[in-house]
Amino acid sequence: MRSLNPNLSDLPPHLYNLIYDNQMFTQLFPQDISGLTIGGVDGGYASRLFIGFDIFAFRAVAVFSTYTPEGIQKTTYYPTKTPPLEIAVSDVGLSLMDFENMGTIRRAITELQIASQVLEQSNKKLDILLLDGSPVIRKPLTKSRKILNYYQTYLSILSRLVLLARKQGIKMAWIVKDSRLNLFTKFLGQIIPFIVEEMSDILSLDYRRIIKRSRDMDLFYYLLEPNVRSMAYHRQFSISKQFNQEFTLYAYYLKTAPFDIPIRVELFQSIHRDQTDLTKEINFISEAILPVSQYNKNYGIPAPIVEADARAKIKKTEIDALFQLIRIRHPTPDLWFYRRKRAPWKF
Amino acid sequence: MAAIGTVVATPDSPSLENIEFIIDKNAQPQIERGQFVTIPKNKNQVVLGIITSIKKYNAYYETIDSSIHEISSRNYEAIFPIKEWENTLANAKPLGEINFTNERITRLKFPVSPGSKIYVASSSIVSKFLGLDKNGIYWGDLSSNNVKIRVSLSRLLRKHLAILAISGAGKSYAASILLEELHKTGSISVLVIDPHGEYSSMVPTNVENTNTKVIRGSFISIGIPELSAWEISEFIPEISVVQTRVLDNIISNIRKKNRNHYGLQDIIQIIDTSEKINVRTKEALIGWLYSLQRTHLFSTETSPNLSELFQPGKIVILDLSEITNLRSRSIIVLHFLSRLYYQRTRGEIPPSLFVIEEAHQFCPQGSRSISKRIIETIAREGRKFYASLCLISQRPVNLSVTALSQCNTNLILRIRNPYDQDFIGKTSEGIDRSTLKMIPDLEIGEALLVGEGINYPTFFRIRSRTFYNKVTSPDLETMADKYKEAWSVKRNTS
Ligand SMILES: Nc1ncnc2c1ncn2[C@@H]1O[C@H](COP(=O)(O)OP(=O)(O)OP(=O)(O)O)[C@@H](O)[C@H]1O
Ligand SMILES: [Mg+2]
Repeated sequence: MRSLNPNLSDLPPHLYNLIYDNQMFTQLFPQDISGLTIGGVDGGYASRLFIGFDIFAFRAVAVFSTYTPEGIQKTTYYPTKTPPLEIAVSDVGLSLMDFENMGTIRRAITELQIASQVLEQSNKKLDILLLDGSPVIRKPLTKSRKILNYYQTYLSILSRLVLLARKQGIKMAWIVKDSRLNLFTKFLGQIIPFIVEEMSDILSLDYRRIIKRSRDMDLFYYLLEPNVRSMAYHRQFSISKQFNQEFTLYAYYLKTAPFDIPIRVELFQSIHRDQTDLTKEINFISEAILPVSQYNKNYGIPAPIVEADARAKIKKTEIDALFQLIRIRHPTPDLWFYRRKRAPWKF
Repeated sequence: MAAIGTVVATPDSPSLENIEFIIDKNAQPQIERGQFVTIPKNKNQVVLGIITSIKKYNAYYETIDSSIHEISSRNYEAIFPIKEWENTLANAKPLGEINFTNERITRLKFPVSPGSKIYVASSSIVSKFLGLDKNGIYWGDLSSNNVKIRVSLSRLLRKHLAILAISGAGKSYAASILLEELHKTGSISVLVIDPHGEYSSMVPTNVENTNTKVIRGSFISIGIPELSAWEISEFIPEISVVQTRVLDNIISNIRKKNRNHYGLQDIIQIIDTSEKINVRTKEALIGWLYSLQRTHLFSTETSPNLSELFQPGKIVILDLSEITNLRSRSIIVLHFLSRLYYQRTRGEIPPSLFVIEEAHQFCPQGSRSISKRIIETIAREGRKFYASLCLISQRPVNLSVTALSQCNTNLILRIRNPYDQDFIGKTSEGIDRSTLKMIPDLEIGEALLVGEGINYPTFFRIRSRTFYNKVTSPDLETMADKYKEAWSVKRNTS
């Protein structure tokens, strides 16, 4: 794609301000990560509706490995290798939508709490912390105070975490495995008229139709080659208020494995940093992510995320045991059971 | 004592049949298949189990597809904390519940809980469970539980013993340990039928050992005057009742003439010159008696006098290695076993053990052998008279089912032949599939004891010999060199 790398610095300001690179693609070089400690955080979540109350089970794990030229020197888990489940019961019957919002937000809170605790523990020497998913959770459309309160809690934990990471000099990035956004495709649609010459190859196709129907992932699956990232794009997120507008969120795509879709990386940056500084940091993080993501040509998720995911995941046997226990203690039929399995017929 | 692991919950564990547990990393070196473990239930009760299988598990390699081959493993393991997730899992079969207050062992009625800690069973619990006898025969060690396998002599031998394994697995070695122990106890007398002269080389040559006597085949003779016609006829499977009666007449006549110093030749002569016997009988009898004579086993006197040798604590080894003819060997076995057994039934000799090596030759299934009847008789009735058998064989399938099925205790060493394994599974009560599967993997000196002698089939290691000489058969190259040497000496001298 180097042959087709439009220069973006001549874009009109209203477009240029949305991005933080001067070119659409940046070639990267996987760095030697020996000596670095890279962490991953992920959470698991399971829930079930009972009659009269709802049950949520959460778990979040942080895992960090220190690398040497020979491979992993040491891996530490926080709080433990297999933390117990955290159980929450809500006794007001939630609507199905609220029930889902509740789960999502509380799971995110659990993850951020673990991440904060890891950062607070000074002895956990960390260089880079990767978190699973996107920090962006849209404000839920609900009247439930409880859920709105949880949402506020989420935002404040998130902002505290970002500040803490900066204070400690730890680089933090969120890794989105299956991006469904179309920020970039929209943006591309807008900038194409300005970069026509360079993009003539693409223009030979009916780009409007393609671009309109594509999501970022589809587009970058074709446009990016391994070890190449896209330009970083400014992502709107109402959290800026929490930071007094000081931090903004950037997102970019990074291709790690040749036959996997790219990952989306999101990170917060101070608006006071100058652009080359920011570019340097993005490249540093990317070049550290690459070596831990290149182990299979069909799969390119960073290893710390894979590992954290594996530990946080709540296994079916665990859920079954848990809900079985609850059913014994509170002999009411749970709603899923009620709806699906208690039907007197069988199709 | 530290726990060795934790019971995990899987679809089929913990149940009444199976307890799966994850082994602590530090405990791994001390865990073995066949080891006994306990799971405390409360202060007074533990569940006892035996480890039936051990496996390693790593979810990282669980869903390996073809694409993994593209990953250099160094790369994969350099990036992921794979070793952190290698787990060792084991399965234990629950055997019972031990109650310390009433000292009772009962069947497990309810599974243990997931998450329970699991421990190596103490030697006292295991000994009690297995019904070991602290004054019994010390045959070997269950080292993973720190238990000495001491088996009650009476339980081991009263209902006969069989030692079964492929050649070279250590049958004779195991039997020699038994002899060592019997020698120490000094209570019963033992006759060893040793077709290959293996036991004679185990006897100390440097010490004055008055309790073990080796009798070489070439020194054995059977005194014809001691035999009735019916006894002689047992050496001749083809003889008819009428013909035996004729022989009986002749022998009676000789005895009436007060002769008690006669041999086969004398009988042959009388038959030959007799005019009362018809020609066909005459020819048949003479032919058979000649064939007996050609064995050179018969004479006017029996030697040695086994009943005299047979004192409490004595071990008599009949070394038949010089006698290559199977029929001759069988004749010896028949004669001496019959004599000794008869005397035992009359209480003239101490309680006895008859150790028979290559038992499938002397007591075959499906084919005839001169010595088969007496061995089957002792197998069936010996218990009443405190005459016990120890049958040793590398081909259990070829061993008389009548005899083998009376051997209520089996010591099984390595067996590879699937027919033999199958056979053992069928004949040995109490061996389940998982136990049977372990038999081909046994190493030299490892054994499974099952049956009357022990409460539960137990794998253990035969102890080392202390008393008898260590015999190591020289390897093939050494033997070849020896032969060449001898050959060249011969050539040079001639
Ligand atoms: N428990 C043991 N400890 C040490 N060595 C052993 C043990 N058992 C057997 N051996 C050695 O293994 C070899 C074979 O043993 P042994 O002669 O007892 O086998 P076997 O089963 O009787 O064989 P065969 O069927 O040929 O008579 C011998 O050299 C013996 O010293
Ligand atoms: Mg042998």
